[in-house]
Amino acid sequence: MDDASQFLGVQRRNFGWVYVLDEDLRLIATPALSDDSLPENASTLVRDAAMRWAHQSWQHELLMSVGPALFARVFPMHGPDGSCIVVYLEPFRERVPR
Amino acid sequence: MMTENGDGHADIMALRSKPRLIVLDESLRIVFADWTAILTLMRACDNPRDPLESLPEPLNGAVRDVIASWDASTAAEAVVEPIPDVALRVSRLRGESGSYIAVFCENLARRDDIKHAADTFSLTRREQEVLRLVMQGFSTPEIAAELTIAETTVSDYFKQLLRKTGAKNRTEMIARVLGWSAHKRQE
Repeated sequence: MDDASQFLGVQRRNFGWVYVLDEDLRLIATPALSDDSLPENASTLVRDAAMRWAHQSWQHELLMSVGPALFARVFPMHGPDGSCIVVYLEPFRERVPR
Repeated sequence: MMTENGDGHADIMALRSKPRLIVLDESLRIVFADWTAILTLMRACDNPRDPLESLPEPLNGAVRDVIASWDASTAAEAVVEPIPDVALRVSRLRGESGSYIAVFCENLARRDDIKHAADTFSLTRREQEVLRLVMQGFSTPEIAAELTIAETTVSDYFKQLLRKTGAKNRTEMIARVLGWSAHKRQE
């Protein structure tokens, strides 16, 4: 995490968490981390964010505040074998130790 | 109308840009990609090849080395800088049909978002200080205490920051500072 802090700067000290959903909004890939390394209720936040994205638009990239310390960026991606929806949870309110 | 949650954050907005993310399968074949990122990396590597298969070298080799170095039971994230000004944030995903690798491409020329914002929005030194604290989650009283100025002065700086960045609230301002190019509010 120190390496990340160095190049991302203090306001983005953590990695975000990538969730990949299929076009039916089913989770097909989640971070390979223990639950205590993920935001609380992350799967619920991701599903809610994906539903809101689907309700708003199937083509825009949307930024949502899903809590006082967490953004969800939702966007479609494409590949040789099809398309997916990515929900990227990103913390933005990391405090720097004084 | 764009809604606000209880903490005063903008609820939802559209972006013009998305993270430069590439998703690989276990054999490092590209499964999903922001193709702008792929083309940018190909140019940066000066190593044109078929963009539909895998990352260009030396990026592909760097990701392979990262994965090989991971302890299967613990490590799942790493950062590498295989070529100047390009960093890859590599993390492992798991799915029902196997593992995936998420690769974010960061342009290190923009590593200091505050400095970039200062240049882009013509921010004064004091405005940069306030912006940095705002983005670290400091409240107005905390910023006032940190900078030894009055809370009303902090509020004035915050209004200036909103005006200069063209944002309506803190979330939109942060998005603009981070270069996420918010351009449209959601009804």
